[in-house]
Amino acid sequence: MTGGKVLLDVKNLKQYFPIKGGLVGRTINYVKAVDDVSFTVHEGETLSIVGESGSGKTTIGRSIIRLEQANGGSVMFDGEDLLNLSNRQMRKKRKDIQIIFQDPYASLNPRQTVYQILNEAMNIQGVGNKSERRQDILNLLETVGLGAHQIDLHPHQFSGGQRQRIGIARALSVRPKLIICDEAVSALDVSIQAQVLNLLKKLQRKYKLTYLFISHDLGVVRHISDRIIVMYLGKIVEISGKKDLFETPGHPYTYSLLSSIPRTRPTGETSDRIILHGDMPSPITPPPGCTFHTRCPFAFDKCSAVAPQFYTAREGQEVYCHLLDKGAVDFGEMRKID
Amino acid sequence: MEKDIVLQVENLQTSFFTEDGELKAVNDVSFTLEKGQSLGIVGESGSGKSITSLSIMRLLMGTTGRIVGGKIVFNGKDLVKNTEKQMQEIRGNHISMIFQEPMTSLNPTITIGEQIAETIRGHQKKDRKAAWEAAIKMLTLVGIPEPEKRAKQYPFELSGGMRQRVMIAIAISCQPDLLIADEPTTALDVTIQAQILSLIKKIQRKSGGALIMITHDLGVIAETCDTVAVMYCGKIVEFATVHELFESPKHPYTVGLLSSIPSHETDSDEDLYIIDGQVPSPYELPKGCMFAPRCPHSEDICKNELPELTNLYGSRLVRCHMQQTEGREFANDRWKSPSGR
Amino acid sequence: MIIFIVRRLLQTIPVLLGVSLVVFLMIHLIPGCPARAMAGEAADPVQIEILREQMGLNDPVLTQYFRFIRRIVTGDLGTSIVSGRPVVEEIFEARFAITVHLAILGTLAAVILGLIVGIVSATMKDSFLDILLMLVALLGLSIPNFWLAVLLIIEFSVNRGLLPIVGWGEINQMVLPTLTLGISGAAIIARMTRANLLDVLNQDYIRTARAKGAGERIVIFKHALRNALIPVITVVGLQFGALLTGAIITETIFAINGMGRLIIQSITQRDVIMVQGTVLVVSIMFVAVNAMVDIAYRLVNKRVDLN
Repeated sequence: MTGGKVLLDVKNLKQYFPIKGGLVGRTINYVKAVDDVSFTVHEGETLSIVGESGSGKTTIGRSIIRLEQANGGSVMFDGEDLLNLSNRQMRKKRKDIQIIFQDPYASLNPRQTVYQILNEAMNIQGVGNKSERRQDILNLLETVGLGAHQIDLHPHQFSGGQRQRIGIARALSVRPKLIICDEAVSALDVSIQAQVLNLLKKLQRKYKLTYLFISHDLGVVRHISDRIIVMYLGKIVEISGKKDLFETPGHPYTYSLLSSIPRTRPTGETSDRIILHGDMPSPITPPPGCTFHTRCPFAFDKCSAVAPQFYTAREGQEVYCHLLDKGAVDFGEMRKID
Repeated sequence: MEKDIVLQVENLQTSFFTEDGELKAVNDVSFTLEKGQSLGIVGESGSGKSITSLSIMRLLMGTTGRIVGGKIVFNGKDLVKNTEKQMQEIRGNHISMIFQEPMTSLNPTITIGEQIAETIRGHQKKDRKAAWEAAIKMLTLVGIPEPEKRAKQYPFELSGGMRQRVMIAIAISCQPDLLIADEPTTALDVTIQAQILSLIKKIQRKSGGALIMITHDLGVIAETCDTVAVMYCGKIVEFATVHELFESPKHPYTVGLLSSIPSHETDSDEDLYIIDGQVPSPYELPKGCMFAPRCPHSEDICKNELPELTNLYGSRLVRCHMQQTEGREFANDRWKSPSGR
Repeated sequence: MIIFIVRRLLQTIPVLLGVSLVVFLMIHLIPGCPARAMAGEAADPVQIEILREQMGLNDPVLTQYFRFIRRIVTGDLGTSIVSGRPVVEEIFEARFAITVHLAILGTLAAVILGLIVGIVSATMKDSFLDILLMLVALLGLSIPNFWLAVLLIIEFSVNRGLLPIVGWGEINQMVLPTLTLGISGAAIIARMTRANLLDVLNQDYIRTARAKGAGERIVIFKHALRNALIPVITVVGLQFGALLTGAIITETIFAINGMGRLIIQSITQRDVIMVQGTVLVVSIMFVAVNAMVDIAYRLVNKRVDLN
């Protein structure tokens, strides 16, 4: 899967949000939403970013597409650094990179019909031929599973799942290379979520799309991804192929995240589960050393002092954890010894 | 056996009366709950699961909803016939409820200690000081560090997980016989969800009370419940023990629901199973089986006649024509029995 | 919190400077020269020129402004052209106290009346009483003060002879002016209280309170009202601030010698120095009350945490 050409190369991305305060409202501190994050996305793959609220996963997507102005690092896409483009150049680039949001209703203009929404998107990017526009849009609707009779309806006349299909159609209309899906199926009921997930997979096969899939739902992520990034407090803790991540997680946070998910069947056997204590620390004052050490059941002296470098646990599995000094770790076993 | 029954809901019907007409949110729901038992009610949005719980609490005031039929027998007394005054005596004392949104479910202008103590004072003969001390004891019980300090804080000073612990403290402060948890972890992150679920289970085991867990998440059901009611369009379509349900789901909707969830435990490159179409509008419910328009196994009878909730064996109930005539196995190859794993 | 208070107080400085500038420029922008007004109709140009020199009106404008600022900081607002007494004395001897008194009574009446109507209306939403009360509130909002005052005088003083028509000091003299100011204020407060209370009653934490078994009285007075009144505080504060600047119409109709009437009198008498002084005092009061309202709002609404 990682064989394809590199499409997106993110290096040392930093996104800090200033906190105003004091008497004159100057910046007194920063929320380090994304703190020195690097990864690559290969053509045709689905790379997922998982993490809890406050991990910075959503901010990464917004920084890449320049909805936020990053404070540092580079985002190479097709040989160009997106962070250095002018606003005009960036608008052109959005033809190649599209984003689908969680709330499809909020991202669709309620006064426009489906035809107008898609037509506008295609006009802005100058896609296709105007005389064939209506036919193109009909084809697009068919692709995402909407009927030709729905072309002149407004967003409020659709259900949540159908609106997400409109959002997908809009993203597809400009024939992008990369689609960032930001919690794109999180607001949907399971039966509708399954329909949309299948659609995303079908489209990927058909158009050779690349997805950067941001989600908190590990079931969905396991279903759709090739590789997965796990984030905690603005930093990557693990990047791994799907199989390794779920079967032999390398980072204690990944392990506890996985063991926190309710089992899909009643088993009763939960002895190897790690339930984390407390809450995620504030991203304004992240703990020193490894940011996870305050909640990590395996933390030792070094963890609170030194921020870990990445270790290669297995081929294609990078883990930021001092435990890896001693090679790959089986947390289930360690748990039992405790 | 007879006296162990805490709650018996019989043919409950709750409707909302809107400009567009009558909306039957809960349509003929029946179940019983014994002491120490935990019942899960699972369904998608619009299934009527939350309205069922609000009906039991008789908390529909301020809406256009009202109970139009059926009985809710709690400890031998029909709550539907109770006056508001009698209900106030029961709420928070004998039946308590935890809500979905910890962010908005606590009063922002009252300290959390007072929000717990108030409940205790309302139902027990305790003075301010004794109630405050009891509140702090409750905070300790739900695992809030530095309870004396926290009690004096306001909700905005606490994280979502902490607030949900406070909600639980309020709910159990008078040792209720029945605790209703309405999507208690939906708004929380998965590691915090694990904390809260394990807390709810621990408390229930200790108190021996009954629990109703309302959720859209079958994983939460699998973790916390003994029996499950699956709801669709205001009706129970299947009732089973947790093990039976996950091992051999009988209703085509249950089967579809189980197999459309992407699993974090297995790899599959196949597409997810799909339930075609969408939930029908509550104003235009189908004449026959509610699920017939989306059901891959439906026949003529399904479209014309509403199936009864029928006892298959033991406590197992299914509302499906196909099961009543043939007892078919719908489980598709995507939902394999656990022994096959 | 202390940072917020300090910052909020600092914010008043540019506003006050702006006010002082406007008030200062008044004297230069309005037609007619104060020296001429002071010297009287019959004065000859030489006398006026001497007066101009004495008053410093021939200096550069900037110099005059700084002098003006220096004076007001030391509490000297000049001398009335008409009475020849210091403006500060004129204002603070009696008139200011009367206006404050009237403002407090009027606000109190508005709050009490408004809250009662608002709460009753919200708890009995869509009932006949609710519709009636809201109609009355709409009327109270629409009727201009001068007409309301006259109506009250006709009914209670002329027809029934229960209360005096003019003056201030005796309790029976205070009733009608207080009512005049109270009714229009109450109308706004009632409508806001009702709307906020209805909104709050739909909140999740109200459902939580009911789920605890709390009775309706506790639900409304302990859980709902506190949250519903937070926005009302701002309105009450602004109303109070406005009344402090002198209820010009009401004071004039009832012949109450407060700040409002002082402004009117000074204007008609072309007592520019007096107008300047009163407007300045009134503006400072308004700015101060506004700052206090903001601080009070912040204290009550603990959710708006300053980070």
